[in-house]
Amino acid sequence: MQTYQNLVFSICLKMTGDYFVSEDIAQETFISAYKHFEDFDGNNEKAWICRIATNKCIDYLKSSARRIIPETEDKFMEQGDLRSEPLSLYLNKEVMEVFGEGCNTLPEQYRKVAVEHFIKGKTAKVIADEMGLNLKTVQTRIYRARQMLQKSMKTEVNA
Amino acid sequence: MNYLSDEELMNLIESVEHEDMIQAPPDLIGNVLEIVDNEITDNTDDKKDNANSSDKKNIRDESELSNQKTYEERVTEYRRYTFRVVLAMAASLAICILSQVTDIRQHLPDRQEAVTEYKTRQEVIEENKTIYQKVKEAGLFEISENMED
Repeated sequence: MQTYQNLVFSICLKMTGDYFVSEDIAQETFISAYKHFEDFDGNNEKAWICRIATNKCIDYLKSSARRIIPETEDKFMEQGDLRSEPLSLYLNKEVMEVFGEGCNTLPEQYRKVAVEHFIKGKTAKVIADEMGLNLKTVQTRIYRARQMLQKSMKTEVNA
Repeated sequence: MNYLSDEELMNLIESVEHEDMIQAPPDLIGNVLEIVDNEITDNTDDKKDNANSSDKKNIRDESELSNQKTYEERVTEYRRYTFRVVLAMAASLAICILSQVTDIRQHLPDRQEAVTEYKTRQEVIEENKTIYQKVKEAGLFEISENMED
């Protein structure tokens, strides 16, 4: 799992363009791999796990496309065309740049924690040690920062 | 939007590995392990619950089996029940027959007879008059007046 976590997460991010959705799908991928490990033929582990991840991403994209309600019949036709279009991929570095900008817009007390955790990939314990804060405080700040970022990302997508 | 072919998948993996690899969130593995661990614990608990419930069921089945009577015992019980029913029927028949027999032996008066047994009002008045006359003739009223004085 440790070997493929960056690869799986990167693939998910490339396909969905959403940090938190990619995180969820990457988690689901490993859980699904654990549950269906008996089905694995033992040939190419990397391809098998990445196949699970890409299939889950495509399922997510299909379901999220279904959730968008077209306003007019023309838009409905456009949406139908979009669904039949080939998969569009994001550039992870660009996505992370936008995500980093989102982190920098957070209130002061959450900003540094969010950057350290989401961008630099530090755990709550490491951040707590470095900043001299209580672990619970850091965990709470990460949780709230996540909520704020999810909200702001959704607003940006809807806009 | 279709699922990726093997070739598309391999191209995607290659492009990500060489150009676009991003570090996964730090708590990704921790969260997965936690979820898997919880599921394992839940499954173990479910199995324990199932085992406990099957044990209880077995105990119940055994007690039910021990409560089950043999064929001979059930036949005997049925015979006892039949005997009680027959006895109750015979007793009720005997009571009916005996009551009829006693009715025949004891002469019960019919309505006319019963009515004639009682004195009419006129007869009672006449009888009282006769008693009054007898008392008067005997002078018992005068004696009682003197005693009051």
